[in-house]
Amino acid sequence: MNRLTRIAEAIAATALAAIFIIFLFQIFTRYSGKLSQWMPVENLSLWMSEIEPLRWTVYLISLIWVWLIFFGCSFVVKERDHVAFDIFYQAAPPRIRKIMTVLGAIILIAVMLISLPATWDAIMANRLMELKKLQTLRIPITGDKIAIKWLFFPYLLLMAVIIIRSFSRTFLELRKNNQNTEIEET
Amino acid sequence: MSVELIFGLIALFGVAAIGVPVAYAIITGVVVYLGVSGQDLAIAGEMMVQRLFDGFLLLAVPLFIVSANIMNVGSITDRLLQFCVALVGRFRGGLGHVNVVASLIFSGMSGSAVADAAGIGKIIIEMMVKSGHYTRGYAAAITAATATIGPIIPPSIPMVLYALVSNVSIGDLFLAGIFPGLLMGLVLMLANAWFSHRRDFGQDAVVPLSELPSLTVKATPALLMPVILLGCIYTGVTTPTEAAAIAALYALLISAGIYRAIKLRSLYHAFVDGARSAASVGLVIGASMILTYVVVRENIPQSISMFLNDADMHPLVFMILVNVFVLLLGCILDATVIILVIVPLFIPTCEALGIDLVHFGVLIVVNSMIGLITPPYGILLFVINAVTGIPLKEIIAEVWGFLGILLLALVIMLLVPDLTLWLPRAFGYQG
Repeated sequence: MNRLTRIAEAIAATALAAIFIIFLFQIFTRYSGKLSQWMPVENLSLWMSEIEPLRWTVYLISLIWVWLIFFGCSFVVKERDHVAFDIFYQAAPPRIRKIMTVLGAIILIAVMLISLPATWDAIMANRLMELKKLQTLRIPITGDKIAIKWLFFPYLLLMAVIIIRSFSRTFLELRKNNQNTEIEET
Repeated sequence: MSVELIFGLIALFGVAAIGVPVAYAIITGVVVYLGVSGQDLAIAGEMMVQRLFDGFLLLAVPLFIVSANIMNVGSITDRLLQFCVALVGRFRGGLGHVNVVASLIFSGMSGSAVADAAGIGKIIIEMMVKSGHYTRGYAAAITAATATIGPIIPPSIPMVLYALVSNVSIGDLFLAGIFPGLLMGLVLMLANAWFSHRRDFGQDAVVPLSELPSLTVKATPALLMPVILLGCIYTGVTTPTEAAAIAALYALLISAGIYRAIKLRSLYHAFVDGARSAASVGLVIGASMILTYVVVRENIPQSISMFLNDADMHPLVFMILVNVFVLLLGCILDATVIILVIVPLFIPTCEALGIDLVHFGVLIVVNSMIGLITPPYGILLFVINAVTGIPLKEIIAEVWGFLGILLLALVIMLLVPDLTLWLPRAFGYQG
């Protein structure tokens, strides 16, 4: 389990680094023509002067960003790292906390299960609102179009993870004995 | 307000109140809204992904997080601190002043108050506590207060979010934040001087003035960061989002090249931490955006605008009321949610009343940053509590004085628009 988290962290960090590098590359391609005249090595200078500014990078970056958010929230962000309004939870006695945790998990399971069929249908059957922009996104080397569903897919992934996590949290919480509830964490 | 919206809001607040992460609570509220009104439940996820994909400006957010993290792992922080100690450490309450000045400088490099508090803030608190001159509550409280300057002086993640909902130029907002940020630093230093005098804090160790020039030279590369960032935006060399990438590259270059302080391993961790915060912030942003979609569909901003127009309100009264409202919300809501969900409600009214949106934006951002240190729900207080272990009770007991003085600064910004608008106007902002 721990190793899987490591791998997930590595993937997320790579995605963030990719966003960073593609941005720099995008800026580079825009100015390489102008910069080429100062380049002392002739071959390099020639190569730089021929680079065209890239346009597809914008979509690729946005695609990675969407994946980073949902993949990251599914596998990298810990439950306590999420922005939460937990002053009531912190103030509550252990018994009430237990009820709050289980109730919250059950509500999330219900919401996700209820909206899952429609969302699945919309995404996998391409019953989405128009999204013309992404049609210009192609895999750089082969030039194949990337299907729109792959942009929206990570949301489904997160829904599934929320359901599974909520189930396991409910189970753990119910099995946990009140006596050995964790000592006050701050 | 329709019945389905009321159901949605009850679900949202109810679920958030039992401690479910805010982003999931918003999704719950929106799904309930869609369900009760008989719309397609898929809209929630679809809008969320689509808005995140289209909001290209948002990509500055992960990039600013990257550069803040690189700053924190490199020894840039240490060098800046040495510089600040030499500069203002000689006065009574010296480390308190160091705290303020370090935050002012640091805020020119990172766009996030939380990153400032967790990074440089933690180190200063340790210095202050070790000196034995300050209580740990005082050290933590002044650090929380100074961290609020972070997003006022560019770069700034909250300003990116505000630019997204208001269509104001991000460059103008960044410039507009500079003087208000300096004002906040100034009032905090005055407050610190006064507290130090009244409570008779001891004198901290003094660095000889002769060392100041060399320390300044060492700190200069780091001090240039905001200049480079704004330079890229204003000369048109890069878009604002690309400028964020340049800023991260610059942070990387100075910590690796000039300061030789970064190891591959810590760089990797900077990216892992960056990815983790980018993902959790991104989720809150995405969720806020679907909530905004619902609110706009329900025509709430227009209704508010019409209502306030009928009330024939003076712009100043409106500004004061909105600020009080945001301040109160800041006690219980996250700044991201306030800027993305609550602020758009008032933008049409601002336009109708002829209020300058850059001025308004700076006020809102300052205001919601003050919200980060208002008990009971102040993220900065929690972060400092988490990274230093200083009990919340002690921090909160000391934070009130700083809270008051920051509010005073906010009132000055509200009443003197030129303080905010002079700089962007000097660079050609028409407004």
